[in-house]
Amino acid sequence: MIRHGTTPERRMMHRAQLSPLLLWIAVAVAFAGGCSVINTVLDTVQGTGLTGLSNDQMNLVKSGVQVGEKLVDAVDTITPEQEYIIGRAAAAKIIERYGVYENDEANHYLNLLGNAVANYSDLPEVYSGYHFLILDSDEINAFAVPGAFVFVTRGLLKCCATEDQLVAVVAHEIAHVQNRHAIKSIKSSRWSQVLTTAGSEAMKRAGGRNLAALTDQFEGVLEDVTDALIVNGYSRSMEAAADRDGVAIVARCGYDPTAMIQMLETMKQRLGSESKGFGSTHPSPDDRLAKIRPLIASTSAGGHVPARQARFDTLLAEARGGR
Amino acid sequence: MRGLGFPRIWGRAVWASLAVVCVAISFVPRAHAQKEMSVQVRSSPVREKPKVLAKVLGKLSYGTRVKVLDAGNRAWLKVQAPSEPGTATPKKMLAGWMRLSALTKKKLRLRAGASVGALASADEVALAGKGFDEEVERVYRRKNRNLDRAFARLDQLERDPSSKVEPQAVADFLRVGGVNPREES
Repeated sequence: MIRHGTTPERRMMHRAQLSPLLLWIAVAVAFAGGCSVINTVLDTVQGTGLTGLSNDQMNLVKSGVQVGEKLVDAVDTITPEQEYIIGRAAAAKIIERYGVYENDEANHYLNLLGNAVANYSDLPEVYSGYHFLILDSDEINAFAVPGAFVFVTRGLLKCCATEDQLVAVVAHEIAHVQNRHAIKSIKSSRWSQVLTTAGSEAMKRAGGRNLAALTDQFEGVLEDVTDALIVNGYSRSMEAAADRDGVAIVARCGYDPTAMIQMLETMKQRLGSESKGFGSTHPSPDDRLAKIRPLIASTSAGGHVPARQARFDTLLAEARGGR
Repeated sequence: MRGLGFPRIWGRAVWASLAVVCVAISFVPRAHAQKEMSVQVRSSPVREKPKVLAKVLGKLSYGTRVKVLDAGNRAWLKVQAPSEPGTATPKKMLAGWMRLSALTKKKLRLRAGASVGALASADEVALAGKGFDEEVERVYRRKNRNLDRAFARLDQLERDPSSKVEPQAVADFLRVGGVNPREES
């Protein structure tokens, strides 16, 4: 506090005592306001010139604040565009592994059905829209990557006898997308490195991007995602959430949620002792049935619609049958 | 703390009061953050009503800032933004309903020309497109030539006009199949 009538030396001394005080107030308010306020507040204080610190010293304070936030979850900071880029690479790996079933009629039907169902999810719009494709494999499996690309194998199509049952499969996969399970499978330590590399001083001074390091980290992030999708599967709680939310999406869309039970019963018979696909990455059909039966009993909607069955039978005849 | 000149001139009561003020600030709802939002998908329809099958009045592109007029609905927001070329009234403001999932509170910077500049927060760097983008994908593809055909198939899928499903196509599909959505929002 500057007192009138004091000597210049005393005023300078008071100002010197105030400068760090201002900085402490700014840091305290910044932390109270949350991470998103930190840089705004510190930038403002820096702009006043009253902290008594040079720009380099203030930047050190700011970088210290950010180092303190080192571990960051991808789901909190990733942009839709970055999810899409990761999703494309994961989709490419899936296509490379299984191959696309090249039947325009069948793929067009699945894509239209999938987009209709996605409209009734909690994430109806994604960066580049939903795209659905059939994979040319008898393995019973389905994949949903960020972005979003959703794949269903011919083997899983054979577990569906009606359009409603196919909707149940698709709704489960869309539930994985809406809950962002693939992004949540990215290790926070790995994502924090990505942010550090992308914002590194070295990168800025070089006037460009540290593409080599970013691409290495991209491969690491992709490994986390594909491990969850193809190798280990999601956690039991994530699968249960996808079943639960999938049932809700089916009902909201106007299809019969009991179709989920019918599809799982068929899958149970077909899976048998199969160690690949759903058998290795998902809970057993019995476990899943036990969890969702209580949910479906109160939301079932009946009715057989000939036109709906006819288009399912016709457009997927070849995909569900022989080659 | 003494190295930064922690002042001795103020008493404990003053610092305790400051701490209380800081905690109180952290609970103040940031209402201003919801008055404007950004479109976070490549292209999103603006509808006449908050319903999936409502008439589409126009579309807004990624990064467009919208003014929020009504945030009372769980899944929809009523917004306003300048119309984009190609809509019915390109020179006027577009007002209508958008899905909440198409919007974000963050300010999204477009990829081209976004320089990092002064030390930026992690959010700003990510949002400036300096993280994973098409450039990173290109380098990744050069390192993984075995994925060339797969990426080409994805490109084909995304460029195929028939893979883009318009709202009317969804409405027709559900109607022909005798499907009656339980709720439209």
